[in-house]
Amino acid sequence: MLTNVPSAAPPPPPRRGPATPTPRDWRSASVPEIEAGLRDLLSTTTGAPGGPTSSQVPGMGADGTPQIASMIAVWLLSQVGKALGVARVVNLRKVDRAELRSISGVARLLHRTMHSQTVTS
Amino acid sequence: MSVALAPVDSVAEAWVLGLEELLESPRGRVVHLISTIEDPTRDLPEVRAVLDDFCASRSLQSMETVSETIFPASLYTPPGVAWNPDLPDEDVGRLDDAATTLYAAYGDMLPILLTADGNSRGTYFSRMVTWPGKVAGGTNQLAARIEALRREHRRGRATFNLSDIDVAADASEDLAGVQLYRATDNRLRGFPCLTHIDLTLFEGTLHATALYRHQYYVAKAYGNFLGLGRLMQFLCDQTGFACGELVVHATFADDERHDHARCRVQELAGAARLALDGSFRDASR
Repeated sequence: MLTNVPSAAPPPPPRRGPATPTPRDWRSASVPEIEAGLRDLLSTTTGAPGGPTSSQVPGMGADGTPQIASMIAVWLLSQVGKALGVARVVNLRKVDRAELRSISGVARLLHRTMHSQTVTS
Repeated sequence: MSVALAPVDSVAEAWVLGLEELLESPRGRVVHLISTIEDPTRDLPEVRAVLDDFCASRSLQSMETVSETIFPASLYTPPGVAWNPDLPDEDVGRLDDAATTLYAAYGDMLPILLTADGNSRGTYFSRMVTWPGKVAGGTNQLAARIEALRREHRRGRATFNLSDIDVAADASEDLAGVQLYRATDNRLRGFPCLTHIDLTLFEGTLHATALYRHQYYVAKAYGNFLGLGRLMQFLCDQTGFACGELVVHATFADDERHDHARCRVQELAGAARLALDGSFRDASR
């Protein structure tokens, strides 16, 4: 018999930092605030079994900030999307790939997306 | 026309051999190119760097990114323990939670991933963990294979006879492969190029064969080998079997000279060969 593994995630590990921003916080946050929220998200899950690996890849991104794997970038986008109640918070076809290579890039992408009024609860 | 390359013990060397073989062929294309990688978890970063530089100069994805379409390693921190029938429940829980977290995270990401070019029909990993691959909550082939392998391990069976071809993922209760191709995938080109992963358990070692209907040797092959090796490591950690050989059968392999010019691909192969030989010299010191 095949196993259908439910998509619900297990309880998150104990938090070590500030609480993840609320949906209102994400929407009203500036780029630096979004970036801080994303760093917090990563810091509470990176390295935990099954969670994202070390978030940074060697080297600096084009924007001068530490690089991350693009898969990590999409994971961050999905977590913010969950907080906002939006499954598809961005359309990757319309995203500059360079923005997925750093936390700052993801923060700018989110800020721009949320302020374009294309994201609705 | 088939070419079975000599078995090698790293992803890097398998790729270099394959590319060199293709460059020797009149049109850069070979039918039934078969690579055998004895240690599919072993990579040589200096060789991969040569290819990544080439791809970056042409705005192609890095091999790390390609590999993550098969196994998203950056989303998965191994719990540091491998399964065995006598593992304490707490450690089994950690292993299971690690896998479940990975599947759930990928399910959360799937709506966004599907918006990327070429992903509208799902990704390889989504077809593995939520078949048919476009929404979360589908059939998880990997979880099923892990369950079956653990069952065999508990029974003390280290060799398992398998179906040769799995047309459907739910063909039988026996240890089946991982299906990636649907009958409705009618496209002549494009996704999915990887159609099936067959799993063979023999004397306590898990081997895999991956079938590609088109293997692009510049843009994809190295990353595909890398991802398949990581997938095998994941399955072995989750089931306690040793990681065996990976055989990649490309029914049609292509050195992509039509896109990049033969001389450039030749230069790439030369640089990769230098890096490979350099790594052999370093290892022998």
